[in-house]
Amino acid sequence: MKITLRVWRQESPKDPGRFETYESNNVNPHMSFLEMLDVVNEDLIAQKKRPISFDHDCREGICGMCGMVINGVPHGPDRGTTTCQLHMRRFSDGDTITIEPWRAKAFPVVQDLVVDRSAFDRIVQAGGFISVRTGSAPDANAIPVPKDIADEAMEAAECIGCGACVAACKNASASLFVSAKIWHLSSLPQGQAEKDRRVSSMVAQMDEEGFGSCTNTYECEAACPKEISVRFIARMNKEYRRAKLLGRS
Amino acid sequence: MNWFSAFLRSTVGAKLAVAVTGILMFLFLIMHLSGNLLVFAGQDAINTYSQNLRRLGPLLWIARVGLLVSVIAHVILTIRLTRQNAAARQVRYAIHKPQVSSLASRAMIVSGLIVMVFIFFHLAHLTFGVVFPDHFALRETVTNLGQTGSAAVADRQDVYGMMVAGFKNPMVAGFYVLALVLLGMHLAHGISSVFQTLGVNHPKYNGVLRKSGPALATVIILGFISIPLAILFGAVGA
Amino acid sequence: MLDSKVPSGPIETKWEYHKGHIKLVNPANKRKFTILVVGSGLAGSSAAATLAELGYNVKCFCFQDSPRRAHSIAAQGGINAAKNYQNDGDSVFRLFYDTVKGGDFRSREANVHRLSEVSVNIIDQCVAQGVPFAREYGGMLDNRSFGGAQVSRTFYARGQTGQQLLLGAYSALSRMIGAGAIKMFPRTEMLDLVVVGGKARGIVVRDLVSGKVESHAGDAVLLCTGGYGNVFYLSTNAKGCNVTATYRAYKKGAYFANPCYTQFHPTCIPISGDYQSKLTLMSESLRNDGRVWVSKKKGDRRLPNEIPEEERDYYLERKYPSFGNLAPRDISSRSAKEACDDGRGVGESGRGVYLDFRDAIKRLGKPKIAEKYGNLFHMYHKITGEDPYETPMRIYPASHYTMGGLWVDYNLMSNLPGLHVLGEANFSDHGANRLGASALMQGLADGYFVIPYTLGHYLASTTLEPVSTDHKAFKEAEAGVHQTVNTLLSIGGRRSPDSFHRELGQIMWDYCGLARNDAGLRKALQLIPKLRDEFWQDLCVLGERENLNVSLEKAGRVADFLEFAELMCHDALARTESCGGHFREESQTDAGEAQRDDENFCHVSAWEFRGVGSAPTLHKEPLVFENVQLATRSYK
Repeated sequence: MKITLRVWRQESPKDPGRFETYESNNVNPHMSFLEMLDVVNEDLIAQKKRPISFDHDCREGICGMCGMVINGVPHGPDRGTTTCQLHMRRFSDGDTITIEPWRAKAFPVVQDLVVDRSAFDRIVQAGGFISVRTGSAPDANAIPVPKDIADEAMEAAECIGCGACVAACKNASASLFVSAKIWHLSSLPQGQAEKDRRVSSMVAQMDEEGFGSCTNTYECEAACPKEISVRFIARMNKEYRRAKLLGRS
Repeated sequence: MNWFSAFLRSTVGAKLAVAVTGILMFLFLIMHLSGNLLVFAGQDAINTYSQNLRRLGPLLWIARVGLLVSVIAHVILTIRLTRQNAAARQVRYAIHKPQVSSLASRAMIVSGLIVMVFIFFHLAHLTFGVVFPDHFALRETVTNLGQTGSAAVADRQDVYGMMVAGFKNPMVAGFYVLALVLLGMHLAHGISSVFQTLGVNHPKYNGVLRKSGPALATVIILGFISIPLAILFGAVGA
Repeated sequence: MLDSKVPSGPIETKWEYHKGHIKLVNPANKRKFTILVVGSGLAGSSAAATLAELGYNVKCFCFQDSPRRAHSIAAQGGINAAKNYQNDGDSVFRLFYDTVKGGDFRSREANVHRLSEVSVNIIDQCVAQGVPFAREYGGMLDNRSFGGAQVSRTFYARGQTGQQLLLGAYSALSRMIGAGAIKMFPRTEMLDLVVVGGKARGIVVRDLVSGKVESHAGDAVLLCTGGYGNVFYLSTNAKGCNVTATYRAYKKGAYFANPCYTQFHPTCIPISGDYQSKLTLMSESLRNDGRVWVSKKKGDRRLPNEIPEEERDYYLERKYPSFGNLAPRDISSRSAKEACDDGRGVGESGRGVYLDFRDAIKRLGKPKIAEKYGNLFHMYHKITGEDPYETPMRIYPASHYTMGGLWVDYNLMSNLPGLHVLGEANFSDHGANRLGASALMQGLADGYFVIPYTLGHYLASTTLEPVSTDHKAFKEAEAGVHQTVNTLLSIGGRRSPDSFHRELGQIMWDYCGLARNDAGLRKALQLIPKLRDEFWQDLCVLGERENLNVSLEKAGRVADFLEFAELMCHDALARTESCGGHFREESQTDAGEAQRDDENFCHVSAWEFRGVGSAPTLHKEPLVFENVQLATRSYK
């Protein structure tokens, strides 16, 4: 396959950045998207050009490290798929593919397609946990958790923290990420004790980081490689309202 | 009230306030529409309705102030949120392809601001009579039969006549129709969105809730639009 | 002789006794100690969080952009624990026994027993953190069974158990970061260990974003940096997994134990081309219903569905009638290799075997199969473009886990005082082969329940002079790192780091892979130094030193693999027996099964660094089995 790439290149956060165009003639349809970039990078090295930097690690769709906007869609055209799980057979010979980094003030570009997502870590540090010291836990079966509640918590907990929700949202809102973590913990019996404090501090940190607000366009759900439901955003709104208007936090 | 202003400063709290003020305005719209549709029942019906509204006195003022506060809060909060949202993405994508969102959901601020301009015009036109003072000044003479059988002659504002005179003008009717379509778009997303913002989201009901916005918006807007169109094309007030 | 410091007494009470008698650090003094934790996977996150809860001053480092991305996240199946919630006869002893046997009698009994004891606490801890394990309708925890066990003791969270456990540990870590008790350094790679007065006292790191080389001093160093499966280039490991931290510690005097013990997972998607960057694991559970076969004819190019039943060789069912397609990982992997070596492999490359669901679909119906394996079939379809409902899957073994690692004593401390090694990075618990669902258990056991006790003992029983990063040892280590970085950037050759890594991987796969022999290992020991020389002459690393430079990161890791590979081959060459994941062709039974040599090799081989290119020195820790009888594993 012959593919033309328009790739965002930016040396450092201070560099304004620009698109550069590369052509590759030896793309195999069975390659993953990242393997295609590997091949392009090998060509660039042979031409003594700095290879394209992009984040990636597990290459099996679970670490959440990879992520780029491919032809205007985070993680590319397939639903429920990370960039590393996207394959070149999804494209046609002669296609031009435009690749951009996640764009959000809270995710500043580090280099090329690499962005800094530490804002997500800080949101979790603000309250995305259940405070339990090692060794202080009761027997695991001491608190029964109804299966449907455990299943829903799992649906929320599946989030891989890739940031596609932010990238897809016209407001660069982190609501899907934040709400999934809140609901994962606050729906479980173990998470009840801290639930007001949790929603309160996590939303405050989300705002502090400079993410936009949710305007219910649901692009996040469509872009999420784990197809996490916007239902959790509704849950977060409710939790927040209860905590702030009726609770003590 | 420190906690309350902190609540409103948060994005989630602000959205909640936007939803609540939206609901209040929506309720007003329904009452407004049901009143307006009396135009089809004739001059007397709508003029009486208008006269009775004014007789509500302080109640009317409470409603007016409530509505005004809602509008101001809705506008201020959404403008603030929009600015925050714009600031959250300073570098735009070269290509950005929305996958599932409706145009209405992405253009809320545009439809909202145009509707706001329209509301100014609408108030100037039909509430304060600034646009067409002569239409505003139209009076209707009414003869009331007293209990004794004696007739008292009085006059009252001719809302019917004012509407007919205004909407006979194709420019005015056209502007109303255009603005109402935009309002419809705004409502189509806004109504469904309210449920999500208030935390109502359940797989069993989401189908209905997500369709409720476009459906209700269509009904309401067709109702409103029918008035200028009926007058323009002579079905009313010919 | 290495002293494992295993406490005396009966195995059931060793850990309790030890905990009751080791020294403690006064609560008020804990904050005076700085602990450097390298790695943020299950072992690193759990250790850092727990030590911070105790009051220690903790710094944690990871090369990923967030601690949540460590490769523990990719573990699918589950985590073992001797809870006996199923009432099916499980016990601490049984888990201990299964693990020792599964490891082919090459692990340290006392460590494995402790692992089994604390396994129950891990589940309690994780549930309390909000890990959404699978539940039964009554709200109680569900279990599944796994290879190498006759009881159901595996706890799981869909196919993402590793992810959920890691996110649990990450949340504990995050809580302590938020509380200011841990300083986290993401996108920071450890490049050297600093030893002062014979004790591990610090590390030198490179900030991968700014490129700055910095030192951190502390009172103890915890390496929780995972395994070295990427020495094969293609593996189920994440791309960033590397041997650098443990290898550089080895160069500073820590012993590397049993590096030849590597595990190949039998059910991975085969290599499809020379662009391949990693191999994807398909859960072992598929072998419950899938039948493994190849054609009886060599070089048969027919489509699988065109090959009639009588011309198919269901070789696992033929060779191991009682276990059939569920034979253990090492045995299944080797049999696949044999079939392919015999010229009967499938797919374009001829390196693959079929895993066929035709009969299961006929027996149970497509909906039932979809319900059990739908997500796996979908994943396979997405990667290969082939529909496993219609045509058999193609699978082949891939490097998956490494049982070897830095040598540690019972307290998880290496021979270098102060240097502790946790999780996959150490060698201690899995012997020569790891059972499924035991890696997660070990990582969390070490981090949550072992190191918090044993580290205190070390700190309380040793004298630590104050050391700052101005110390000569730090300056020398920094200078060394600077020099390596500058050299890598200035070679100015033609080849990319990846091309060397790929070539090294091929050498290792060919000569130190699923099966090893004397001649092959000797050949590898010739080829590796040659490749290493070429690396230092023809490497091309572009980009800047003081900026994000992905090629530079890779080059440094490949440089370490190029030295480490030699160590691995030395170990494989010296161990002339077959055991677990280490199969020496010279040591097999008449039927072609692995043959252990307990007389000569019932020991841990711990290697001491003697200079690049020089043969390392072997130190032995004899393995004594007092509670489990040494026996031959048979799955016939």
